[in-house]
Amino acid sequence: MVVNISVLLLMVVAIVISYNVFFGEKKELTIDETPIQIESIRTIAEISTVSYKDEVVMDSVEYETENYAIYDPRKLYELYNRGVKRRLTMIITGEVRYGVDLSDNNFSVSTNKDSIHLILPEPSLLDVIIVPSKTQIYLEKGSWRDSERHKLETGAKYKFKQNAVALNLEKKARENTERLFKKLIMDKRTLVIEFKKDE
Amino acid sequence: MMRLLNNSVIFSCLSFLLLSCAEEKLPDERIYEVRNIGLLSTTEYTVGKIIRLSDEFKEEDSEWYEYYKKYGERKILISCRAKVKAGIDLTELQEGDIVINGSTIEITLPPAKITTFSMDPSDIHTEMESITGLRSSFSQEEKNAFLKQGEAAIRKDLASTGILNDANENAVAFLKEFYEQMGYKKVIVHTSKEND
Repeated sequence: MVVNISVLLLMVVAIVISYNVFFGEKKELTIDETPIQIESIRTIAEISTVSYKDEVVMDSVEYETENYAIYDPRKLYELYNRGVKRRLTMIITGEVRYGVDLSDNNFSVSTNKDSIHLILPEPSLLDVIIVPSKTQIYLEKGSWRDSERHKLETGAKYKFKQNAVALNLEKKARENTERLFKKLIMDKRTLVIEFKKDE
Repeated sequence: MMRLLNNSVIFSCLSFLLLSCAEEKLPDERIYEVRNIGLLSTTEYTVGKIIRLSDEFKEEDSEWYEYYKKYGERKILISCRAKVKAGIDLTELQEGDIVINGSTIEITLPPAKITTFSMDPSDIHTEMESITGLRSSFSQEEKNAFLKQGEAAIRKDLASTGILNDANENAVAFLKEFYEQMGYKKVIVHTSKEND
C-alpha cells in the first residue's frame, strides 16, 4: 500500500516536472504598479535629420560536447534537439538616428548684406534606439542568464551602427541638415552652411 | 535479442527521418528603412523604474492543472532605466508658421512630443529573483514580457512629468537665441498647447 502511494506521488511529481519542462509557465503575468523616478533632466539641442530602422536576428547556440549516437536510446532527447544544448534567438528591431548636436552652443551665425554664413558641427550618430516592445524572443531552449542576453542585444546595437555606416548615413544627414536649415531660415539672402569637425 | 536490436535501430532511423522535417528556420529577410526627419530634441529625461512581480497561487484565477503552483512561488525585481528626449518636429512647420517682418520674426511651433524613447540593455538589471518549491525559473521570454509592461508604464507616466512643457520652453529659448544670432531684433515664438 505504502509503495503504491509512493509510486503515485512520484508520478504526480513527474507529471508536474514534465509539464514545466515541455510547456513552461505560459500564463501572462501582470507586473505591480510602481512609480517612476526622474533621475536626471538635461537641456539639449539635437537636430536629428536621418532615421534608419532595421531588424536583426541575434542567435546564440551551445552544442552538447559529447557526440551523440543515433542508435543509443538514452540519447534520444539530444537527437531530438540535434545535439543543441541551449539556444537563444532574438529578433530585434532598432532605430539609428543621425544629426547635429548643438547642445554646447557649438554653432555660429554671421551675416552681411547678401549672405548668411552658418557654421555647424559635423553630423554624427545621435541615438541607437532599442526597446523591449520591439524585441522578440524567437526561440529559447535551456536556461539563459541576463548577461548572455545583454551580450546579444549589445551585438545587435553594434550591427545597427555598422549598417548605418555602410549606408553612408552621415552624408545623408549632412544633406538633410542643409535642407532643414534652408526651411528654417526663410531669408532672401544666400545661405552658406559649413560643417566643422569638433576639436 | 537480434530482433530487439534491429527494431531499436529501425525505430531510431525512423525517428531521425521524422525529426529532420522539423528543422527550425530563422527569418533572414532584411527589410530596412531610411527616412528623412527633422526632430529638434530640446530636453532629455532619464527615468528609472523598478519592475516588481510576485507570481503566487491564486485559486480564483487558476486552472485545475495549475494547482501545483500552491507549492512554491516566484518573485522578481528588475530595475530599468529609460532615456527620453522630447522636442519639436520641425517637418511639421507649415507655410505661414514663420513670418518675417523687417527685423521681427514670428514663429508658431507645432506641439512638443516625445522624440526618442530608448531602454538600453545595459541599464536593465535583475536585482532579485526568488523561486521556491515546484516552480520553474523565469525565462528570458517572460522577463521580456515584464519589460514590455514596464516600458508601457513608463510611457504612460511620462505625461505627468512635465517633459513636454520643458521641451516647449527649451525650444523657445533655443530658437530665440538662434534667430537673434542671425540679426533679428525681435523674435516671437508661439508654442502649441495641444500636446499629445
